[in-house]
Amino acid sequence: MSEIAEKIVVPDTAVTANENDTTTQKDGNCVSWIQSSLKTLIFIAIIIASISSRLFAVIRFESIIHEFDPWFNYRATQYLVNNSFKDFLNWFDERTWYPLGRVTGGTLYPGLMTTSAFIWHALRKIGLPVDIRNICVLFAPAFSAITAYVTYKLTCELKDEKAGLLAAAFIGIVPGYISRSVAGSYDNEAIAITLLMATFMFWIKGLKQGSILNSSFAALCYFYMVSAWGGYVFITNLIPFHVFCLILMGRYTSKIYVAYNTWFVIGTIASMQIPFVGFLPIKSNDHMAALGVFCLLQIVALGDFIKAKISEKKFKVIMWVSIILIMIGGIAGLFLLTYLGLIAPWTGRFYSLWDTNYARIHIPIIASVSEHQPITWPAFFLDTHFLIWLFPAAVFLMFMDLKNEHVFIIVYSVLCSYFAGVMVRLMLTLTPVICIAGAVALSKLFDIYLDFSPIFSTKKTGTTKSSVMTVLTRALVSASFIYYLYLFVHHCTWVTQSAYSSPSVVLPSQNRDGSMAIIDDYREAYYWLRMNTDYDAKIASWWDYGYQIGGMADRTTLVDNNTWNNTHIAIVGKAMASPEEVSYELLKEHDVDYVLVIFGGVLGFGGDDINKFLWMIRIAEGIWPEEVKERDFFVNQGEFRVDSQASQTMKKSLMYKMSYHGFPDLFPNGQGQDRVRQQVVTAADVEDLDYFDEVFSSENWLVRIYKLKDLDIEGRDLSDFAEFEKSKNTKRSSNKRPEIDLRV
Amino acid sequence: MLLSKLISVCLTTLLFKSTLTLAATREDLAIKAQKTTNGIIPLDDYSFKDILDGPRDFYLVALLTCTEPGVGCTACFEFNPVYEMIANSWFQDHKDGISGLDPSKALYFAKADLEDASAVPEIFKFYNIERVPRLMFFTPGGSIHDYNLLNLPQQKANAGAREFISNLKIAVGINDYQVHEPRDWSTIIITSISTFIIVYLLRKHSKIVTGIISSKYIWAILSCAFIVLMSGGYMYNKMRGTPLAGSDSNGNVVYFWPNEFQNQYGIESQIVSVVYAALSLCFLALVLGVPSLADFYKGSASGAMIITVISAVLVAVIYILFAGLSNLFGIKSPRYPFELIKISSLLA
Repeated sequence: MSEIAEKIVVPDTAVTANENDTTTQKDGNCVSWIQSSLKTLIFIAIIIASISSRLFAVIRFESIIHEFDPWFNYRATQYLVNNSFKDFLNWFDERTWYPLGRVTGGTLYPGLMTTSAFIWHALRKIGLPVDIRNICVLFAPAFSAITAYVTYKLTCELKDEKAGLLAAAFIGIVPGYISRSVAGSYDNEAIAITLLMATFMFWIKGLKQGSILNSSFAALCYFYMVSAWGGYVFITNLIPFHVFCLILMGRYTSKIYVAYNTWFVIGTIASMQIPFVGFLPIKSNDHMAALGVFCLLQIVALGDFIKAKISEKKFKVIMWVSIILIMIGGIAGLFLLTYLGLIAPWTGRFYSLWDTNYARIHIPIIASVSEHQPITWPAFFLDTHFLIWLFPAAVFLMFMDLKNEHVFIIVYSVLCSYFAGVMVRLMLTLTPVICIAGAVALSKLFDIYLDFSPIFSTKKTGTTKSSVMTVLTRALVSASFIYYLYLFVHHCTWVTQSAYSSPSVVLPSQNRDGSMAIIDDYREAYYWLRMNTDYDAKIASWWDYGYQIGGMADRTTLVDNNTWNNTHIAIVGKAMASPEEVSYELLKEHDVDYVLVIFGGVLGFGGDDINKFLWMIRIAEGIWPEEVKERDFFVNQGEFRVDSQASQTMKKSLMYKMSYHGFPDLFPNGQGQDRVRQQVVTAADVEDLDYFDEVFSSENWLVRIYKLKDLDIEGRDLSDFAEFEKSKNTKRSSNKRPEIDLRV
Repeated sequence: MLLSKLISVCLTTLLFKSTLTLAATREDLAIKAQKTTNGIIPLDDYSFKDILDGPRDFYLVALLTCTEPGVGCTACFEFNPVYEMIANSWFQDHKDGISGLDPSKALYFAKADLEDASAVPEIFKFYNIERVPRLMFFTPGGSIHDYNLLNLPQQKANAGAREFISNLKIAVGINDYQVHEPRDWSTIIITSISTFIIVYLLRKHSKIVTGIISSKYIWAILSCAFIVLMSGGYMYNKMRGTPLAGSDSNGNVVYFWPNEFQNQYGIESQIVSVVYAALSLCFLALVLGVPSLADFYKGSASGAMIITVISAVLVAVIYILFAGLSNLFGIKSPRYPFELIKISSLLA
């Protein structure tokens, strides 16, 4: 696979160079024919490269939906395919967030599902009945090809086609984008980046030409984007900010007026048609910038008109007075409206971008998501390789040109590099601009150094020696950068296959002899649930696994990855953190039949529930500070231990008991070696479960499922009953023992 | 009569003796603390055994530090004001050192400072202290030898005090412990003066100022510097308060946290940002500098030579820096196969 990608992408630059040479020839007709056929060829190559490098996951594992959120999207798509669109929009899902249910149709972004349902229907119409799962799995790679084309168009607006082709090749294989668009990663981002680029492309076209048509297209793409991803707020703020900068720079023209007003009016009205968005565009502060710039533009246009009619001196007075009045009025109005509650306060996710400590203090749910963590420098390098150091240089070069469209790229770069630094997931929006800027810079370099014409025209430049020198210099510089391009392809392929192609539902690992082993515990457990439990059984688990249980096991869950109800999540957190008898009562109140925990101690899987346990405690403590206390789970110096030194509260908690139930017995002398936390858990540490029965543990004990015992028919307390049974019968049930071979 | 007097004398002497030999009481410490300005009880050669000896019914944090300039303990100097703030925060609300919410818990702070290298305080010899600063934590009930060593807070200044206090709250089990940050007048004064100067300059030299503000070069340099800073992972350091550098098991300084993709030291972003900036500058020199140089030397024979040499040097510098960068990445991600060259192998 890696070879294919190399062969395809590296020649691109060479071909671009040929093109460069050929343009100097006179035979225009022939040249343009060659050019366009070469361009087509290059595009086919880029498309093949970008799709094929995203198929590692399918080839290594199988055609399967990845991770967590995609499982919900997949389930919703299935619903849409099996029901009408109207049913879909009115879908009330009673099988999640039990007993509340979720108004799913009104709380999701339908763009992704409708697109794949549309593709499914269209393919059936032309006689290709493809399984909806395969459409969903291959959705992201297909859209990445479109992204490459749109990026090409966008870069053409900034420089020329040469830069465009480079940008398309970069965006096709850059890991920062692949990370969210491998086959099987059926997530909103898969389509959103395409739409992001399309919106920007049409916006710049509309701005350059002052064209209503292009701006309307930008608005339509924006509408599509709103329907597909919550990150549309980025566009809502970036385009107004761009216009604002242009006005500040004194670059106001009627073209800007036409483009912005068209985009804003159509885009806003269209976006309000999405049920989940509704009246947010005129209420929430996230959207206020767009509205403000809209008003500002009207004022500037008026000012422009007045300026043409009266003397400059008079105009200056009018300008200053009106500016001050408007500023005072605007700020006062904003405060008043917020104060009266007519416009919503800043939403938490948005606020956490500015005050970096906000989330940690106020919203543990947001802080607990690993996507919302700040980013380290190796992550930047991993995702963009040499483009990351080309990026600042490229921004500097943009400043040298500084047309309106370059201002856009500069604004985008500066803002987004801050956002990406604060939140890992926004790396995804930064990557395209890094590719575009890098391509522009590199193509500038190639314009200068990949031009070997002096060798053919020795007469003009003088001596042959100096022309040989010039060519030598150029060859050296271009060769070194073509080598970096070659390295870039290798890097991207390596990163894609080693870091981003794991479905995370199925875990790859190695046996002791180095052969590949696949750990399929999740699906084993979910399938067990599907086959062995009642259709109406309610499963309690931490919210991370809600979508997967809904999608793969088709059972009702208490909480899932759509973290809309903090209290409900806190209930599960409290149940996990409390002693058995409290949890039992709480879970019984919520009709729970089974409790599912993820335990990585046998396998050495770090992302298990014990490691996430602190967040459960924190979230529960936020609601019941009296009953759940974080510090009770620590030993003296704020250490979080699970071995014999663990705190009593920790050992009594349901999560601990369920994770380590029977674990020490797997090891000789009952010295359970926890491979994640590198601590020894002995049989004396793990107390018996009186209220729960272990019903299933997967092959490597990654997933453990417990059933709540029925209430005793004689009305005894279950712990007393267990005591009584124990005294009667000392025989212990033998557990199925997983192999505890070393696995890497 | 006589007997009762005798008994009472005996009792008082006994009591007196017991207070002498046994531990200090809460009252003693409260009085000692109130005598000081910041609530930190000094541990001098005569009193430290009385103060620290058990069995006690309070918690006590003792700092052994060294502010003798000759020793050059920067950590001591950095931590001293933090410690004062920690102690002061407690004593502002609790004059007697006893928790208001939970009177069974009391907390005191003490300090011994090696200010003069010629006179080492007894307590340093008593505990065989070889490294400063040391934070000792005495819990109720134990003797003079029963203590835990606490780690210094990882963050600096006020953030460090907050971190320490929140840990201390957990360790002692008290809730009514507020952080009182002293109002920093210097920043307010500096801000107001600089605002005044800026406004004055703006009015006086408005032409120059507008020239600077509307200069695209200044904006370009600022934006690029910002981007370089961000892509070096600066925000991570800021939000996590990472230490500047770490040390390995032998106590050597480590600049790059090996094998840790999710973590970094502060100095890592600084080094990486410098490398990024240098690479960008070389690239700009190739794209902008060399062509304008070529225009300058147009026609002269030596010009081509000069340009060739300059370009070759730039290409070499870019290669070396990029190789270094991939090497650094190799430290963070050991299985990375595309290190351009091993710099270490070149040096060897």
